[in-house]
Amino acid sequence: MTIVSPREFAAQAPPRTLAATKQRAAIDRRHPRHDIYAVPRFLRRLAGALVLVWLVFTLTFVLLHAAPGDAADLLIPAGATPADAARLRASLGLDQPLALQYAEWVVRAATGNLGESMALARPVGAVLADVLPASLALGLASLALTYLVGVAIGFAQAARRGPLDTLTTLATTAVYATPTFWLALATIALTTLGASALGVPAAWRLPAFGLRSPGLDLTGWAAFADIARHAVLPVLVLSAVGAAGVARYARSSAIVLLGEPWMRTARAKGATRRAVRWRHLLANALPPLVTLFALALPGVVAGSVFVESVFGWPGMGRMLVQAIGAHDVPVVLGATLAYAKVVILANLAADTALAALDPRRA
Amino acid sequence: MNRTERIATTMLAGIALAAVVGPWLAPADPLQLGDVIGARLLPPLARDGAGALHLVGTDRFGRDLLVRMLVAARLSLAVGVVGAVGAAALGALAGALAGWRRGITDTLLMGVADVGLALPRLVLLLVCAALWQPGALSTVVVLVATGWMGVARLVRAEVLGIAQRPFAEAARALGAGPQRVLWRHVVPQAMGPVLVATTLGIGNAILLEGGLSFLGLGVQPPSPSWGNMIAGGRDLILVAPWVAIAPGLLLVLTVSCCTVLGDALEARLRGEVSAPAP
Repeated sequence: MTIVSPREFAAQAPPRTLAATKQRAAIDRRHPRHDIYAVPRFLRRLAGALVLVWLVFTLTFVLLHAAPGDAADLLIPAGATPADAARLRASLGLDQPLALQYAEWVVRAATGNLGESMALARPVGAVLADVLPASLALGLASLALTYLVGVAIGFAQAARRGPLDTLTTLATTAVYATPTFWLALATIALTTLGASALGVPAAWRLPAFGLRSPGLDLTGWAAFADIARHAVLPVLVLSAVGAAGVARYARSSAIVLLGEPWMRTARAKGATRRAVRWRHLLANALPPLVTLFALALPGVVAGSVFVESVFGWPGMGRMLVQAIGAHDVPVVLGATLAYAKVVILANLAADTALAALDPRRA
Repeated sequence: MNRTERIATTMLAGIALAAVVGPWLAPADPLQLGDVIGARLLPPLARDGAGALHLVGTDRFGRDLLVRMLVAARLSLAVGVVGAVGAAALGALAGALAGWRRGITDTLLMGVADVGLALPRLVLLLVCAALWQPGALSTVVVLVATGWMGVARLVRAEVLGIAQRPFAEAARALGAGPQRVLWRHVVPQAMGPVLVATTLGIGNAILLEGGLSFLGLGVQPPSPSWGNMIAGGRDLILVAPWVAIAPGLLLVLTVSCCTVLGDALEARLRGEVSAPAP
C-alpha cells in the first residue's frame, strides 16, 4: 500500500459516491487549499497601518510642542496685541493641560477636521482638496513613467553587460545625484533659451510655468490638451530623477536573479532565451518589482515638492512650501498627514501584494 | 579599485581640497561687493573692467562665482558630512540597543523609527525646518533627526544575527559583561553596512541641504551654500543661466562621487556579483 498525503488524495479523480464526497469535504476542511491566513494577516497589516497613522499624528503633535514657543506664537500674526494673543491661546485651548490638548488633536485629526488655514482663512480640508487633483495627476503620471522607464533601463542593462552598461550606470548615477529643483531650472533654461536659439515656432514650445495658458478660456479636449502641454516638462523632470534611482535598483536585483542557479538549469533543460526571460525571470522578479514601486513613491513625493514650486504647478507640494513660508501651521500639518497617509497606504498595498506573490514573505 | 572608483575618489578629494584651499588663494573676499555695475552677471570666461578673469562668471552683485562656489562647498560638505555621520552614529546606537536589549526597548525604538520612515524624509525635514529657526546648525540637527532610522533598522538586524554567533558567546564565556560584548565584539562586526549607508548618506544629506537652502529653509544668505546659490540664480535663469547652473553642476559631481564610492564599498563588502546573461 502506498502512502498518499491528504492533499494528493484530494487531487485524485473526482469522488463518485456520497460517502467519498463527504470524505473529500472533510479532508478539504482540515487541509484547505487556499491560504486561510490571508485575511487575518491583511487585517493585522491594516491595523498596523492605522497605528502608524496615529503615531504620525502623535509625532506632529510632539514636534509642534517641542518647537520653541507654543503653537500660538507661530499662529499669531506680527503686530497682534497681547490681549489678542491671550484670546487666541484660549480659543486654541492652549491653556488646557497637555494631555487634554493631545486627546483633542487626535480626535480632530481622526475626524478630518484639521482647523482653519491662517493665510487663506478657509478650512484646511478644503484647501488641500483644491490642490490634491493637480498633485495626483502630476504624481501618478510621473510615478508610472518613473517606474516603467526605470525598470526597462535597469533590466536592459542587466541583460547585456558591457561598455554600454557601464556608460548607462554612470548616467543613472549622475542623474540620481541631481537635485530635482536644479534639473527643473536647467530644463527651463535649456528649452526656453534653446528653443529661441533654434528658432522653434511658438506653438511648438513647451510652457514652463503653471497649469493652464493664461487668458485662454478653453473647454473640453482643448483644455485637457493645454494642461497636458503644461505637464510635459514637470513630468519629465520628476520622472528622470526617479527613473534613474529605479534603474539602479532594478539593475542590481536583475543581476542577482540572472546569477541564480535555476536560470542556468532552465537554459540547460532546453528553454529558449525568450522563455527564460519572460517566464522564469519575470516570475521571480515580481517581488523585487513590487518593493521597488513602494520605494519609488517617496522619491516622487519629495521631488514633486520642488518640481511644483519651480514650475508653478498648483499642487500640494507648492502649497506646503508656501504654507511654510507663511507660517501657516495647520496647512503644513494637514499636508504632512496627507503625505504620510499616501506613503503608509502604498506600503500596505505593497506588503499585501508581496504576500500574495511570494507566500514565503507573508 | 577600478578606474571609475579611482576617478571618483580623486575628484572628491580635489573638491574637498579646493574648498579648503581655494578661497584663501582667491584675490577678493567672496562676500565683499566691489564694482557691482561693471562686474555684474559676467558670463563664464569673461574679464571684468579691472581685467580679472572670471572662470565661471559673476553673480548679480559682481561676485566671482567660482570663489563663492568653493566657499559654499565648505559649508555644504561640512553640513552633509556632519549630518550623515551624526545620523549614522545615532542610528547605530539606537539599532544596537534595540537589537541587544530586545523587549520593550526594541519595540519603542523601532516604533519611533517606523513612524519616521512612514513620512518621506523631505516632508519631515520641511516640517522641522518650518518650526525651528533656519540656519546651518539647525539643518544639521534636522538631518540627524530624520536620517537615523534607516541605519538603526540595518544595525538592529545585524546585531540580532551577530549576537547568536559563536564568538559573541565565547566573549561572554570569557567573562565579558554585556556592555563589553555589545560594543567591543558585536557592534564592530555590524559596521560594514553602516559605512556604506554613511557614504551614500553624505551624498543624500548634501542633496537635502541643497533642497532646504533652495527653499530658504536651510543655510541663510549671505553665507553661500550650493542650495542658496542656486536659489539666488533662480529668477536669472533666462538672463544669466550660469549663476544657477554652475553650483548645481558641482553639487551633482560631488553627490555622484559619494554614490560611486558607496556602491564600491557595498560591492566590496558583499563580494562582487557577476552574472552571465541567459
